[in-house]
Amino acid sequence: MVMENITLKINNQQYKVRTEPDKPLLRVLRELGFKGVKEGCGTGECGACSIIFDKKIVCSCLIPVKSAEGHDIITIEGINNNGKLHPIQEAFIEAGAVQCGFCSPGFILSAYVLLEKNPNPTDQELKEAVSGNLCRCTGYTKIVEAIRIAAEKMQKAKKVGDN
Amino acid sequence: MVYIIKVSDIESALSELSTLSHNNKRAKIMAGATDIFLLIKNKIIDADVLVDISDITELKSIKIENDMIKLGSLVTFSEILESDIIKKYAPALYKAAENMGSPQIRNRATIGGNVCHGSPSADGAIALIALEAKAIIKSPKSQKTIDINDIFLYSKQNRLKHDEILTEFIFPACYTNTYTEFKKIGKRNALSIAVVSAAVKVGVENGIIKKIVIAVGAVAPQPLRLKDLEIGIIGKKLTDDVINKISLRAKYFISPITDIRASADYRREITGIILKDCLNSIKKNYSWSFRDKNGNGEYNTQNQ
Repeated sequence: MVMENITLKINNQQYKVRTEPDKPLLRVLRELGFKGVKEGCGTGECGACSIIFDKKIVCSCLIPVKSAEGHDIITIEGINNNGKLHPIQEAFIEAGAVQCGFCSPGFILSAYVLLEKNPNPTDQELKEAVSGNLCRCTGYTKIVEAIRIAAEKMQKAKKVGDN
Repeated sequence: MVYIIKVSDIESALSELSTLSHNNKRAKIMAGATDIFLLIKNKIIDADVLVDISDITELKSIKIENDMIKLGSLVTFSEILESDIIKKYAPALYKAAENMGSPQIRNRATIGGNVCHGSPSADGAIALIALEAKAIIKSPKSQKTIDINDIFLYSKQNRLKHDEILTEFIFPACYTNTYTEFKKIGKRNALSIAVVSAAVKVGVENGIIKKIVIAVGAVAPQPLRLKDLEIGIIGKKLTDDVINKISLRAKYFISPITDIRASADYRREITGIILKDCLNSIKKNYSWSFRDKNGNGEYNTQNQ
């Protein structure tokens, strides 16, 4: 087993790790304390480990840590504003879209990427954006509602900001 | 444990592969890693080194030149969905990309990886077969162009040698008069490996079939072109009768198995039906309108 020095950019900060180059990024992130990144299936099929990688949503269980060097990683821990919850996080709570919460970080990041690109998505676009995230608790209805509420919150905030 | 070497251009990639081969190191190419990383993690395949080519930007372009689409092997499925060229001139590939994986997978998985992994149900591969794609293969000393069907061996193996990289796919752009369709049956709406899939390209002029290419997925040990099913169709009219005949004959040219997703019997029956769906969809598109490449023409509401 050989260890390598690898530098990662996570939530706009540099982290230096010494680890096996083929370790899944998911494991490394959790070892660094980013426990919001969850290991669900480990095979890219549940989305619980979703992170934003160079502005795109990906499964961190499918990325060897060495390959993540030089790229931009955002985890769920990175979207709040100095402790103030992101509107999407607020909306998930308001809508009752969180039961056990295990899938929530993944859904929230998928919604984050969607709403950054497409602030007013159709129902179809919304569902497709989270089609890589599985929930075993909620039946999805409240999750979709939460994302709708978040979209409205963000549109309102933008209007206020523009004025 | 596997070493990972990152390269940022084709020459370095080829040079690394050569050197590793020379030193008896088992090396594999890694792009989006969505297939290969799991195979390595689960010890289904063995390698000493993974050569990470995902940063090679020159393999990420999509162009149209002299009516031929040139698709870089490192284009991801998400990038395919962002491409107007693919949407307009290779609809079967666009549709395949829409139905493949999930946003997370599509943001990493590459069309080259999809073909080289060569799963019988590979959505991108099935579409490219129907589009009559050729692949450019580079090695340190040479470059060759091969038919996509010649890449696949059975059971997810491919014919590429240790020091070869698939750099690009080339296939004719589908203008009006050439119709393509892709359909897939899976067990859910997303993250669904095909139970059966099909892609068809049909060239029609005045109601007569001038060209037909049929590809099917998940019913053979590799992505499969049904050349035998295409025989005798050229020159016939695109009618319900012809479509039915193709659909009924399909089961004789496939070799499906029973696995965790479906039984062989089910696959045998569904293949004909999914081909019928593809051809009916094409017939419907053809009936709505036809115009030649110059944009002249008229609307034809008659089917026969």
